[in-house]
Amino acid sequence: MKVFNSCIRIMKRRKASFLVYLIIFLVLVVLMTTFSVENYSTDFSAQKPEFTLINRDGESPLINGFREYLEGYGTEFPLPDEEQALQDAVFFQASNYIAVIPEGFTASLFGENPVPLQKTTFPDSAKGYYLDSLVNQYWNQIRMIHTAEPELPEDQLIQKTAESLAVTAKAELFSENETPPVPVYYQLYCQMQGYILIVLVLLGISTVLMVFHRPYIRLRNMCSPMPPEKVSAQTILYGIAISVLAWLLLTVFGLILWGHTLSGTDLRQILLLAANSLTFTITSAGIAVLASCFLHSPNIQNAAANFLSLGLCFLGGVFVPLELFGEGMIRVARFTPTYWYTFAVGEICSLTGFSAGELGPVWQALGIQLGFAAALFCVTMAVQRHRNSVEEGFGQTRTEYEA
Amino acid sequence: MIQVNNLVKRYGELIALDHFSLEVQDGEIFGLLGPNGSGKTTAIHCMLSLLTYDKGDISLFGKPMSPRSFDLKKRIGVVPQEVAVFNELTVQENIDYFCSLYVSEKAERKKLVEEALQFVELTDYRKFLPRKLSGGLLRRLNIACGIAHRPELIFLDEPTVAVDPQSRNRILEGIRELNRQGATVIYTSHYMEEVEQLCTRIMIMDKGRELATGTKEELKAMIRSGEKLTLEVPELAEEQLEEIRKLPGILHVNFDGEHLVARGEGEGSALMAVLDLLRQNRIPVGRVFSEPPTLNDVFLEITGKELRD
Repeated sequence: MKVFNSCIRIMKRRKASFLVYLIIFLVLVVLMTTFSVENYSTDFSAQKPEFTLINRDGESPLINGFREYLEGYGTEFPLPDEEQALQDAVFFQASNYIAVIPEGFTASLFGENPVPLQKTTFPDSAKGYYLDSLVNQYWNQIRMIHTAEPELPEDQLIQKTAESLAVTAKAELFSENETPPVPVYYQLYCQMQGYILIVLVLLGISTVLMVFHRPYIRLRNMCSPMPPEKVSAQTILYGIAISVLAWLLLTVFGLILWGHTLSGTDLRQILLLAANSLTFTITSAGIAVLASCFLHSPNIQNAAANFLSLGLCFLGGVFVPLELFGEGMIRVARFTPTYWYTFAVGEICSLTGFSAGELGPVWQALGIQLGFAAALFCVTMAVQRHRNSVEEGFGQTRTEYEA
Repeated sequence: MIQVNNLVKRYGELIALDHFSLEVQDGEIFGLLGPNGSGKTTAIHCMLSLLTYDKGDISLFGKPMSPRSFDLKKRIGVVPQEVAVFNELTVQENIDYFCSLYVSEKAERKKLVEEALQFVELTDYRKFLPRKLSGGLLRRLNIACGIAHRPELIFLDEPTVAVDPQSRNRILEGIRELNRQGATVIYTSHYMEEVEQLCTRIMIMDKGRELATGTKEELKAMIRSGEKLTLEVPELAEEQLEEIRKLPGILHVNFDGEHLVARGEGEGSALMAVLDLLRQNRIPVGRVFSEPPTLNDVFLEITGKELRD
């Protein structure tokens, strides 16, 4: 196991840079996880659009009641009653909705020919539609109550209208055998874990492979009585060890950090998330082995680690939710293993059961990641073979081992 | 110890080794001398089965050599042209790593590593990383990594390139010591002085072919050129120069206005005859130098060009 031990020793000598990366990226991941929660939240909170009320009909209990009603759903944005100021406010969307109560509006409200309310909103504005429906609802309700009880004094009419509009339907959602959702913090950590996994595995493996790929080190190894398969086997063993170590480290760190939020979560989901990150670790090892063929110095290695990890993670939706990607972008992203990793994280976290049908997309994503790993290892072998065939080995010569 | 017959190695159109044959006896320090690109390293790589070759046979220790001749490889030590050590491991760890490829028993290896450290005089630097070593010390580490397992046959491929004279002498003395301890050495270089000083037999190569093989005396005896005389002479008329040319045992004469350079023929010396003639012509003579023929002269006479281009 001398080769394996030497690999570990080489890694130990470079552990400082490895640790710097680990600490910086972990801090980064925790920060990004914390700040990205908003993008992934499924909670609902009502928005308060801005409205402007221009009253040309004079103050009356009906108008005051209308204003109070609107203030319950929006925020008043006062504007002077000038045509230019109102047009500018609409154009620049300073106010989402402008309602002008014309002269004679209250007097004609319950008559046969009521003076219509003048409404101005920005075209196709959701907030405008929302306020418009509230306004219509209010005046229709007033008219309806007045029709039913024409003798009702104005203050009671306003009160009854407000009460009837305050009634909301209570809806309860029941679903059988539902799995409690994976907390969004842990889901985000798992997603970001993809980024740091690539960086750590790439650095861990390429640091050592780069050294063993040096032409004259290869020459010395090949002159020795140790069969080359044995040397390769021990470097592969090192690659497995460092990858599993990185995966374990990050998984344990995630559990330490967000474990307290997982009390209600199904253990199978946590195990599936771990299996997904382990699969991605194998794919990252494939990327690292291939990249090592082209790396010759620590500077290039660091640049490659950043370029590959950031590029793949941006494309694969690690930093930005896949839902925000355009169709064309998603089509490109499908050709990256990171896409399938984040896709699997999303699928596992949204699992409501563990039937074969529900788990299908998860297995498919894991399978594709393994496919990527297999393809990467095959390409590495092809690159090595090609390099040997063009006589780029030590001393610009071709070795018989790889011929 | 080594038997190479009719080896042919091509790189596309280029013939790197052209029917190259070699025989090295047990206990020799055999020198492969030739200019850069003459095929020395290719020959060594073929002998070590690091390269495929198009034609020929190679046997080491009386057995055919192949990439999987691990029993033979165990008896061989290699010191490559470039310093081939791990920059991330210390001096001792480097020697230990390369020794471990040959010797698995830990206690024995520890002893061998210690001996190798002492042999190359790097005991004080055992904990140093290679980047902290000077060029000469690095070369010594490179040698230690190749010989720590006490091989019977050692290939040294230009081990003194870019090394200061002091370190070079130490390296050459070390190689002699290895040979005294029983190792057979194959030594390649384009420094003729080194090869002349160190090797018991020498092969001169060019363009992948053997030009001549023998001891340094045998090689020098193969050529007409004898000693080279250089005399400081203030002036010399063309007639006097012609008289010197006609002296017996003189091959060439040249005068550059300050120095008279005369090349003798064979083993005898024409120095006295030249001095007598100059005295008779009342020509004052300054300093006088006499150099025996070198391997460069051998190479020059065989190929018509200098060994160091």
